[in-house]
Amino acid sequence: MSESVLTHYVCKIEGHGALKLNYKSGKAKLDINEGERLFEQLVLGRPFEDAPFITARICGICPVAHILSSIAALEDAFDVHVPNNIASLRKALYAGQIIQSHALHLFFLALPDYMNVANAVQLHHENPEIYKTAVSLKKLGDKLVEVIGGRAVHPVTPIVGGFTSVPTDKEIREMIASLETHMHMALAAVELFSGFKYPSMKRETEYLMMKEGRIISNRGLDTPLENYVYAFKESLREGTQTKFGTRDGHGFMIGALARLTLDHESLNPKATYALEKIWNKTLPTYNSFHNNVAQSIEIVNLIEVAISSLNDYLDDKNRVARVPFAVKAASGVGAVEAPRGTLYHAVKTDDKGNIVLYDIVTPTVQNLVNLEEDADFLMTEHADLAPEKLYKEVEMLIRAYDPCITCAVH
Amino acid sequence: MKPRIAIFDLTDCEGCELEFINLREKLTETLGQVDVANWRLGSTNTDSGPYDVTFIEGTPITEDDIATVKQARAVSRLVVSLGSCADLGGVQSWLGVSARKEGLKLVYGEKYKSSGMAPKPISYYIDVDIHLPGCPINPNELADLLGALLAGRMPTEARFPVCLECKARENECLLLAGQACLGPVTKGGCEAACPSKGLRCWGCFGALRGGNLKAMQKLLNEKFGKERTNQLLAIFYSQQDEYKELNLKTKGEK
Repeated sequence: MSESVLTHYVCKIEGHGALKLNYKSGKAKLDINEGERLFEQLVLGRPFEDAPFITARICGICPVAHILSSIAALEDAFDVHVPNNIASLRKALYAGQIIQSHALHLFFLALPDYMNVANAVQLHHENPEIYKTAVSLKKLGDKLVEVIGGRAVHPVTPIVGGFTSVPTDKEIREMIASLETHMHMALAAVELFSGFKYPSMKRETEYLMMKEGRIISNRGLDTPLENYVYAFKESLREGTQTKFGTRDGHGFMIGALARLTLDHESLNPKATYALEKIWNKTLPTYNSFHNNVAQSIEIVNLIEVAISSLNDYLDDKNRVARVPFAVKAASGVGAVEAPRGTLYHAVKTDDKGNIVLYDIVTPTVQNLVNLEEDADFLMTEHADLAPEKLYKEVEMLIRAYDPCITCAVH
Repeated sequence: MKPRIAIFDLTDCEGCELEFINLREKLTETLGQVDVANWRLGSTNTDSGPYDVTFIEGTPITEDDIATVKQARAVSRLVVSLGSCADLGGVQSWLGVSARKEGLKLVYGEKYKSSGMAPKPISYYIDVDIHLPGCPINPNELADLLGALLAGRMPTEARFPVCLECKARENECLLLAGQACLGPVTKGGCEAACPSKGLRCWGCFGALRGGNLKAMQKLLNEKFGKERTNQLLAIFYSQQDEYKELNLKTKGEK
């Protein structure tokens, strides 16, 4: 170890990776160093209801995604079909998750790169207006998760079949009002992130996402999510604790930019406006730095999704907090589009509902190879930059992906 | 001169240090009064010390984790164990040594070589001055702690069970309702976050010092059987003396 362990990891990303650039060969390497927590083993032998609670602890930034993915897998196994009002509430909770995660990433982790500040406290001094937007949008996401999930980090209410408790109508109405008053800030965020000068790059790649139970891509992939193990390959490399996802030996990209590229036609009106009038770029751009802009557009879209889902919930005359179901020996697969891309949970239970097998594939595992390919591309294309500048640019690229090494090694 | 603080994360979910950012308006109020000398997740500043107060989050598993804990201790006046991973070992610590080996095989295959150590609380390696447990921590407790330290006094630790805060919020008792709620023997400070929303207490603040864990174990044994009782108690308590006194075996230990 040449440097102090207190200072040698890439800052402002979730988890521990040390960046090593070989200027001679033009290769970049993100050395991952995270302890194995073995979540897939931790839940074995435990009753099914422990899985969402325990697997949430994989990630403090996207616990809702893990909880809902785990619940989706278990509901698939036990053939649980939740009524509309529960689905609406989950949709809104989920929107809150992505808003809080994207706001955290955009303003607290990525933005300092483009505004030339060290951290949010410095941003507060130098640009209080933007800091206010940052804090307000983060708070909006937190509040939405808190109102429905009971807590901003590691929510407590979502369970298989529904919720342990649901918010009052008054709380929901206040939440809707708050979402509406934050829309202008979300649009301002799109303006801000559209206006930054991103490093130029264009490298064609395959974008994947999950839509209505199917995994799709811009290169013709279209398969049910149960087939996720065949859609891409997860492999190990010596000396790392994470796996790496590839398709036909190459990287692929998931997350906000992939979703925007593949599915911008499903955007709500204000988000469409943000994409077409504010950002005004033709998709695909094949510039991974644009993941930042895509995240800001998703915030606008998810505010719209949350408002309509909560209104649907209020309009529903036959509301229940949860539905009964019977456990059985079965297997199930669940997935959600997490902030960073498709997150898969798969489960096998015995006839008492105890877990006998569990599998988790996180978004960052799927993004890592594409990230490396992009980094190598930058090293070659921008080889004329001073080493220090190139290093900073690769670091910015890593942050644009918003990787979660914590999730990658679970 | 402003007090210098550092925040380090080891192997974990990073949800507790996120609570610093979740302080939002209070973040600038409190962090504005200190010098954030080293915080990898939140800042570009990476000053290698010395620090007045160091928050350590996460469970030491990798060699670098353990080196971080030791190096940070050496240059810090006060060390705070931030969250249950640092303070108690976290959910990952309930696997015994042989179950961990099985898990490594299951997840990574036969050939995989791990250099990771069995997950322990940071107090296994270094002295800890202030304990701030929780999975996640309660942001209000964090704000209180920062306030106390800025005022030059040590923060007070909760010496009461979750039930005290739960009763104060007039919740229906989940234990009496037949659920395996660990509120009576779990350290308070969470403001009964889970039972107030209908979820039983999982014990994430750790076993209350002086709590009657034996009686709780007996009660749970009768209702849920020995295997489940051990699962319930082990998930957060497994590295604590109170738990070890029960002479239970953690998963996979002979």
